[in-house]
Parts: sequence; C-alpha cells; structure tokens
Amino acid sequence: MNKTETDNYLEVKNLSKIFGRRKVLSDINFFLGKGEFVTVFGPNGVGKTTLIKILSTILNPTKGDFCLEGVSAKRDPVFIRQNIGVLSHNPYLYPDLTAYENLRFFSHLFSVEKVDERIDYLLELVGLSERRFDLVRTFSRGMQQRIAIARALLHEPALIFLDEPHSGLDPLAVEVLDETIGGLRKSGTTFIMTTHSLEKGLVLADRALILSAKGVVFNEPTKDVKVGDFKDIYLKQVSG
Amino acid sequence: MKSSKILSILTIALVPVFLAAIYLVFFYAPIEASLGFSQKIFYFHVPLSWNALLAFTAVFIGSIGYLRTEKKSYEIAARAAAEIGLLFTTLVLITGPIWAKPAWGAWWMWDVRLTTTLVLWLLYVGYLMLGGAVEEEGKKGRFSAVYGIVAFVDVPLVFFSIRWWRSIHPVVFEFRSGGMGLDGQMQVAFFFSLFAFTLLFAALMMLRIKIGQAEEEVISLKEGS
Amino acid sequence: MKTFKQLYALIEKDIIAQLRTKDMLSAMFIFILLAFVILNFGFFEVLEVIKQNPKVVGSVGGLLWVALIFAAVLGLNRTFVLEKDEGVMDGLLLAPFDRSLIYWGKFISNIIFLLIIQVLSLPVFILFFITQSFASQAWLLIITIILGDLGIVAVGTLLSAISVNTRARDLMLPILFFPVIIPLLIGVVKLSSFVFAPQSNLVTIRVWLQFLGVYDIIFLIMPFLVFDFVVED
Repeated sequence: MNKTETDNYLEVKNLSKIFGRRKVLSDINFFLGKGEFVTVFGPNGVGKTTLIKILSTILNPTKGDFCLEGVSAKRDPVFIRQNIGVLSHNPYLYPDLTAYENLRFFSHLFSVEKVDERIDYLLELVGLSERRFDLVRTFSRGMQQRIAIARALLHEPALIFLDEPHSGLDPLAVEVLDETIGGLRKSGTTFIMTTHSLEKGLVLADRALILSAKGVVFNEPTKDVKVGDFKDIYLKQVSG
Repeated sequence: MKSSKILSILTIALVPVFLAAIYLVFFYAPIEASLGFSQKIFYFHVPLSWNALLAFTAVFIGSIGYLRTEKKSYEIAARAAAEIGLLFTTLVLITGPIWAKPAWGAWWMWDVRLTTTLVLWLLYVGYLMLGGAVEEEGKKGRFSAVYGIVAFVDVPLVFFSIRWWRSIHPVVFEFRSGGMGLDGQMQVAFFFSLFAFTLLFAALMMLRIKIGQAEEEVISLKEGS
Repeated sequence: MKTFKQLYALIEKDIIAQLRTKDMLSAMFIFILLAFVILNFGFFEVLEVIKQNPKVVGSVGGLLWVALIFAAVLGLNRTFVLEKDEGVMDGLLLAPFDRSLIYWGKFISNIIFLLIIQVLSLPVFILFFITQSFASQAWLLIITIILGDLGIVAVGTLLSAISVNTRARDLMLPILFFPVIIPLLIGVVKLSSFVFAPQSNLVTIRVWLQFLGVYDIIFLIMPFLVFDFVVED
C-alpha cells in the first residue's frame, strides 16, 4: 500500500475513458478534501455515471488514476472499495432475498462487525424495521432505495457516491435520504453527487463541478455562487 | 506502404506457386499403388489441415496478446485467423470424405484426426458466433479472446481423448499421413504443396487483417469526436 | 479468514435464493427425467440389445451423461442471469475482494446444485436402465461423478459468464460449451462403462481417471487467468 503525502482526501488525475472508439471522459482532474460535499453537474451522456463507476472501481479507466487517502486505485482497488459506499439508480439488491438477508450478505462481503446490531440500526434509520423479513421483490421503488441507503452505509464508508439518488423517489424516501445525508455530513463523511436538479445539487454541496465534453469546466465553492447565476453559468458551459 | 507491397508480391507469387504445385501433384508424383488416383487429395487435405491448426494457434496468440495489451490489432489478427482457419477446416472436412470413400468405402468415420478436425470446426464457429453476438466493442474483444484461449487449450485434450478412446477398439481405419511412407517424388510434391498452402494462408491473413484495419479506420472516422 | 467468510457469503446467497425459487433445480430435474424418457424411446431397440450383451452393457452409462450434460447446460445458463437482469453485478463488483472470488462462489454453488440433481436423478436412472447390480463398482461411479462435475462446472461457469452478455443468450452457452466438454464427456462415459459392466480393467480406468484429473486441473486454473477479463465492465 503505497501512500503518497497529500492533503487531499481524493485526487483524480488525468482520468480518461474510451469505450471501443467512443471517448466518454477526457482528462478529468480534480481534488476533494475530507468532509467536502461536491456535486457534479452535466448534461446527459457527458459521462457523469461513467465517472462514478470509475471512481468506485466498477470500471477501469483507459488512462489516468485516482488516489484515496494517498492510496492509488490502480495498485489497491480493494482498499478503495472498502472505504466507499455507492447509492445509484440501481439499488443492487437481490429480489428473492429478504431485506435482512440482503443486508447480511453485503455485511459479510464488507467484513462488518456486529452485523445484526448494524442492520437493526440502519433499518431503523431508514424506517423499514418492520419489513426486515420481507422479500425485496415486494418493496416499492422508494422502499428499495431506502434499503439501498442502508446497504451503502453498512461498512461506515468515509466517501459516499450518490448517482442521481433522488430520481424516481417518493417524498418519504427523499426525506429519509436527505436526513441521512445531513446526519452523515455532520460526522464528516465526504460526498460526491451527480444530479440533474441544479437547485438540490447546489443546496447540498460545498463545491460544484460542471462536466462537459471538454472535461471539468467549472470547479468552485458553492458559497460564492447564487442559484440563479449558476443556472446561467451552467447553460453557458454546456452549450459552448 | 510496405505491407501492401508484400501483399501484392505474395498474391502474384501465388499463381505460379499453385500452378507448380498442381503440376507436381498431378503429373510429377506417381499414382499411388493401393489407392490410385484418389490418393492425390492427400496433397491438399494434409496441408489444409496443418494450416488450419496454424491458424488456430494464431487465434490463441492473438487472444493472449489482446488480453495483455488491449490493442485492437491483436483482436483483428485473431479474428482474421479464425475466419481463414474456418475456411481451411471446412475444406479439410470436405476433402476428408472425398478421400475416405474410395479408400475405405465409407464417407465418414470417427477416426482421430477427422473427428478432432470436426471439433476444431465447431470451436471456430463458436468463436465467430460469439464475436457476432456481442454488441459492445470492448466486451467483444475480451470475450472472444477468452474463448480463443479456452478453445485452443481444448484441442489437444480432444485429440488425446479420442485417440485413447479409439485405441481400446481395434483401429480399422486410420489416415496415414505425414512424410512417412512416401517415396522421393511424392515427398517433393507433398512439401511443395504444403509450401503453397502456407503461402496462401499468409496472403489471406495479410489481406483479411488489412481489411479489418481499414474497417476500423472507417468506423473511427465516422464516429469522429 | 476474511476471504473464506466472503466466499461463504456468496455461496449462502445463491443457495438461499435458489432454495426459495427452486427454478433452476426444478427445471434441471424435470429435464433430466424427460431426457431419460425421450432417450429411451429414441434408442429402445439399441438399449435392449445392450442390456443383453455383457460386452457392451456398460455403455448405458453414456445415456446418463448425455442427459446430465444437457441438464447441466440448462442450469449453468442461469448462473449469472440474476446478476445481469437485476443489475446486481455492480453490487458484487463493489465488494472489497479479488474479482475471481465471484467466480469461485458461483462455482461452488453450481457444484452443489448439480450434485443435488444427480443425487435425485441417479436412482431414477438405475430404475429405468440398470438391471444388474454394480455395487462393487459404486466407488468408481462416485469418483467419476466428482471429476465430471468439477470439469463441467469449471468450464460451464466461466463460459456462462460470457454467454449471459450475448444476444442469443440461451443458445450461446451450448454452442460454446459442448465442443469444449467433449474430452470430459469421453472420459466420464468411458469410466461409466466400467461401472455398469461386469468386467473391469484397472489400468484403463487409471488412465482415464488421470485424464479427467488433468482436464479438471487445466480448467480450474483457467479462471484464475481469465475471469477478471470476463467480469470487467
């Protein structure tokens, strides 16, 4: 495990991804400090989900690398995976297993200690304790996403990826999600989120990034930006 | 370009080489005593067979190369070898029975070499069908490469399992091939024919790879950026 | 050790899911029964002759393995279907372990499922097709089944990870699988002929057992080298 001295919690260096002949990401560079919440904005197809997939080690980059706490993803992807949680459009749950069985399965994969206690706590957090022994197949989408939140948090990851997490959620699920994020922010968890909602993305974030076909074209703290102005900035950057 | 010059020379050279081979096979080499004229198919059958195996080895090497380097050129080469190999293998399976019928009275028998060739044919077909059934570019290359390796490793296993299986029962029919048992003139014809077919294989490979690379260029130009 | 716990979790997950739906197990079992019946009608006279002739009575073992291999392909096809259809594969890819562990988890689950099917269908096979006792050669049958299963599942799991990603998904696996499994098929049929026959030839048996062993070792090493490339997104 080669650690390089750095202040930055997450460092993304020259990340590129080519699918066959299509260049989806080119030369992505940015840094993240511990505890920061950054929202990545960008039009459909610009590569936001691809970026998340690469940073969560699901995909390998064609070029470039990134480091978490100084540990290179190329050299030690297992370390990265142990420290991140991912909440995506897909809840990553097995429909024929109960909520409890799903969570227990992932707990064992992530070497979670005191499994039952942790599962109880998280199910309570997302408000689904009574449904613990029901098959996930019987859950609504909002409920599945709430279990997915629990799944992502089982191993207390220090960095959490949210890939358009609010899409398709019922109001209760949105509330649970926002409350959970709020609680985690207080305890210093780092977040990267992608979203189509300019407002929500800005409100939650410390920093905003805009991704276009040219790469990262905007990277500023949100406290300096007003929502109305941001909309103009965004439209200008993505149509240029 | 250098490679297209080589290809042109090869292609032009093929004509006299094959004419010479045909002459040697049909006029120079004597008619074999027991089997008669039909034995001559052996001069085509065996070189085709050796080159089919050579092609399969090329698929194997190309597959390993692609997995290690992710360079498209390896994938193109492997696929080219598979197509040409399939062609040659098909010809082996056609010339085999043509020889077998006058020689032993049956169109087909489950002897070691012919059966192994049949399995080789099936492996080639599987490889090419797999390539056609995967849409995503990166996956296509990787899956084909993995199967190329698995299939290649399988061939010796197939050969030996059939050989030992058949050795329990008395071997009634077996193709005697190779340079053994051939007298001087036949050997000349045989090895020259082998040379001719290997040249043909090389030319077809170069041609097919060039076409493959051209296809790649066209598509990447189309998709632009 | 952490890896064993993770492996156990993977296997447990597949077993629970399968015991709950039983779709793979029931399909495979019914299929084998049907295969026995259909093969019986397809080769009725041949089977009658075989049963009478002590020299070839052992070859009835071939019937067992034909039915088993077709049923195995049916079952193996479903190995990664769940992950692929529900999109859960990424969930597994996020787990902090070497990707080949996914393969071994599936491998062991598949072996368990195949063994369950074999335990259930073997008595039926004996009932339908075996007239003489083979108790003294039962040991050979057990070893043959174990060696056969290892090879079938090793190759099948690897190839099904590929075929689940193709367009003609259900058809692709048999096309890729059958040519590769031929050496193993020859081996297990050969050994089965000694199980169900009155005479025995220990030298030949040993050669074929070794052959199956080599086949299994080769295809058990293969995933270590290539599975990462198959499962990468």
